[in-house]
Amino acid sequence: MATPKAVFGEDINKETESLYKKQRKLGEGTYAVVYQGQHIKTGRTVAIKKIKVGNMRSGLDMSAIREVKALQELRHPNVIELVDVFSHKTNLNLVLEFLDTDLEIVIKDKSLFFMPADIKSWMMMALRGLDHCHKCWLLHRDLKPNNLLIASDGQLKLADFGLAREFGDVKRAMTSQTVTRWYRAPELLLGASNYTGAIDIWAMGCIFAELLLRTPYLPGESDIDQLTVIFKARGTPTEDDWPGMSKLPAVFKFDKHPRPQFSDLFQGSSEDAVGLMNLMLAFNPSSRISAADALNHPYFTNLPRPTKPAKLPRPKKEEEAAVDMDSTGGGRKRQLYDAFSDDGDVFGENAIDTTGGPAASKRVDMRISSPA
Amino acid sequence: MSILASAEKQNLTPYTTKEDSCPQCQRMRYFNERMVLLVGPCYHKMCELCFENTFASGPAACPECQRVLRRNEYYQPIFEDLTVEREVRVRARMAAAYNKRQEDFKSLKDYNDYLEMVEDLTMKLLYEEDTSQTDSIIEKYKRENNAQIERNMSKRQREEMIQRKVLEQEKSKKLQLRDEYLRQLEDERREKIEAKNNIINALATSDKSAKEILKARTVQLKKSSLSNRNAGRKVQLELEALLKSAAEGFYDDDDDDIDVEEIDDGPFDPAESPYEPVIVRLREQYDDPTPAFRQGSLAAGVTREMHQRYLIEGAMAGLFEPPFSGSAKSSNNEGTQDS
Repeated sequence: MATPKAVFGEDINKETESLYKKQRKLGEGTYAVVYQGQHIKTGRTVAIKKIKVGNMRSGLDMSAIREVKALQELRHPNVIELVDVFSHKTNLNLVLEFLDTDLEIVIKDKSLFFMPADIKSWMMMALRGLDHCHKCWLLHRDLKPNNLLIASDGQLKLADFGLAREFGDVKRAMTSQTVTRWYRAPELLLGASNYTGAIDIWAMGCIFAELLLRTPYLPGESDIDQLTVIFKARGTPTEDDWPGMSKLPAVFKFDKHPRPQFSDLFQGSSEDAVGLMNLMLAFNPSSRISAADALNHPYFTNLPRPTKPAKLPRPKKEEEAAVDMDSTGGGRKRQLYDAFSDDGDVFGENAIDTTGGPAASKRVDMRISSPA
Repeated sequence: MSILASAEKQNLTPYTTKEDSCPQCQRMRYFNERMVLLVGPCYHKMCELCFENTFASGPAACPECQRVLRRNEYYQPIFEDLTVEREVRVRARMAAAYNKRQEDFKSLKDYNDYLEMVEDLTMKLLYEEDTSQTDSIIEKYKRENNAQIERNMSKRQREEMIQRKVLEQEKSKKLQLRDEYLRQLEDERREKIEAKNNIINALATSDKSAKEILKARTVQLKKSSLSNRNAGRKVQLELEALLKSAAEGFYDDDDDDIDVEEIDDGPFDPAESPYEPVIVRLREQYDDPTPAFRQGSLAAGVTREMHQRYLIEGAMAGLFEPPFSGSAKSSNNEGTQDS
């Protein structure tokens, strides 16, 4: 972080801005443009995420605020680093660590061959980052291979904290409309209005399975279908498996599916791996393993040792893989909806306040002005 | 057709003859040298113009068999006989799904049974016996064995790549060898001429006897041919060593077991973190004014203990951080706290 000598906010801002130069555009989303940039003095490559404030109907996009809020709290080798923040005219610029590829690209690149130790290494780095978030009482809420970025030295980092928020306070309503569908935990699908780090662990379990299978594990086509897909793959839970399940808001009568043999699908994987994955994909959030406990699971301590980050397989074409921290239009729209519907003091079962335009904007404005 | 790459992609010339004609519009190659004939999955031919007209607005029926087809399913056939074309494609499709290898089976018999089963299915497809049933069998197999199919496919790609590399190396080495040989021939020829000239010069100018000069020359010739032969042998040895190492590399890479690099470098803690652990001991009981939890919170894993821990850790956060030192952003609260 720069240590500017200027006293007034505006001068500090100008000084920070003059430290960086933009080089080329990497990608554009509905609410932000990402540039590759450079710290002029040190020559360090950074990603500059320019958030378009001017054309937002109601002030600054909520996910930008969430991202700044979350990343300011976090500093860990396996979490993307927020280097600086500055504003330019009506735009807000986040200076982020530059990371050149993501796990989705790696999984999809069929010319790469994964060793069991490689998968272990990725999972270990992801869980370390997630454990740190949870220790800081922060939920990521959008874990998916696409948001696990990989640095040039092979380190995996959690990124895109646009949906992240604090957890632990039972009095505040939280939206259940979060997390990309394929990685959404069953309690979210059943409409829970308060939840814990277990939802991130579920997503991590899905990513684990995806690394083993090289294809998405639970690809539901709609929210209802997602539950059916989960139950088909994991068996329909009973009240014994998951006490209190029937009290969740959106419970309906499920089709009964038997619990299948996991060893058939995950033939090539070790018992440890499948064992840990089953703990991460437990239906009952209370008995679902925590990130810290997952790291102490025998899977990580038994041989083979996780591959050194520098030796992990990487896709060949590096210039194509940009740090695109934006989701596609549809996803962003969903997140926007989510952003406005959540975090408020709106009580009620689903706590969705679609009419919250002006109120939300007031809130947003407050938040921009306070740190300045 | 994605199953088999089109003729252009494989660098093959599509099959054409002088007598080609379009079965739809009866246009003949005689009048249009550059006529292109396409076939779809039903193996009925159509020229490019008819194709463009038929599929101008989305999927349409084949004029001959009325099967509804799409534009991207058409391609230029590679073979003269369309039944051969069809068989090649059916087999390519089968091979993409059924790519198990002998090492995937416990016994040779299992493997043979598997091959037999695949051949039966292929024949059914070729002779169009219960096609829909066969299709569903194949789809089911693909779904169930997805992981293994992908694995074997990437294995094969890797092997092909290595093989290609070995071949390339071999080829370039052979070329090098040939150049080397030609160069030697040239050298030898030049040496001979030179030696001849030398002798003539020596005979003309030196005062030694003719016999002595001739003797010295034979010794020299023997020496040079020996050195040439040695050089040739050296190149040969190099080539052999290279091929051997390439082959070894091939088998090394193919080894899927991971015992190769099992170097233990000291203790290892998977839960390693740059932060000191925060240890908070909660009391057994608190006076908790929190009203009842939200509906279903317990089922979502929210517990009273978690809530209390959240409040207490929040209250203690940063208390043990020395003021204005270190990185201002490191938020994690260090130190041991009791409550």
